[in-house]
Amino acid sequence: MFEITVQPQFGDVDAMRCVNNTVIGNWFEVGRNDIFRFFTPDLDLHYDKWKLIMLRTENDFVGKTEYGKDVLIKSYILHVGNTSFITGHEAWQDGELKAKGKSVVVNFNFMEQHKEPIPEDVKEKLREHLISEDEIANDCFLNKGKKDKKN
Amino acid sequence: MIQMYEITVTPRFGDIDGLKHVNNNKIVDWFELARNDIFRFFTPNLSLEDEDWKLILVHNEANFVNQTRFGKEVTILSYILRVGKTSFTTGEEAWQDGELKATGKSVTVYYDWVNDESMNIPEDIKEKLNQHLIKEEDIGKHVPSMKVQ
Repeated sequence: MFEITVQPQFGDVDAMRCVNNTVIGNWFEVGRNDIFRFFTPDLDLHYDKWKLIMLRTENDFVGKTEYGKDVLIKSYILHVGNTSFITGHEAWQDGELKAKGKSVVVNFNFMEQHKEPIPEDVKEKLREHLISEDEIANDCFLNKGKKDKKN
Repeated sequence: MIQMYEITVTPRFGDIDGLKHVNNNKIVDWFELARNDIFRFFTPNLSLEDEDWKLILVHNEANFVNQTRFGKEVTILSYILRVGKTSFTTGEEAWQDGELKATGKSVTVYYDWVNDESMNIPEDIKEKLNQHLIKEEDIGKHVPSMKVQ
């Protein structure tokens, strides 16, 4: 599992005093840097060196991420396919899960504009960071809110 | 005829990533911008005070079907895919040069920011949302009329 710490910026926080949803998507992208290095170790972005293209992202916002406290972003691999892989991400603040996300990334040849099988040695590196779906931290702030109200 | 919302955005130089296309997060930003018209059903003046604002985002997703480039305007369509009891699902599409570039969905909950709890969407607002409802199978079918660039 890869971990980075980010500090919410004043402008990341929206009018409802929450870090805006799109900022968390950005942080998950930062969390993928270490995974990108498996494909292009020096992160060279030239078409003949870079190998990855984003196909899909999804995020669940389970709590409100607030200003003034650091956020821990965890990243890992959920699936390794032939030409694509799925990353998983979690945002934690103050010991609470705030958001979780997934992204589907394709091994892509930018020179010829087509997808390619992921090399076996890269697949092995990805598999070292594989976790199963049921290991993803799970919580729902709406249900939790209801529980709190009963108490 | 279902009314979709349509806005036009111009990719900024800084929106373009190292691979010379619009970064995925930027498209999710545009999808949020396209929801402004839908937000007005809940708070017509878009007042962001706790007593006035009624929405919280719980989920979003985006599929990037083609590379969005610099130098040409992008049309963002938005509409409703589902109206539930306390939440609704929006759909969004990004089009450039007559080509579908990305599709997205978001789940938004009708929310009381003063008491921090979800609420039932009032019937009159549900009716307004229903006027913009399209079916899943119609996603990506409506090519927006774009000016020739």
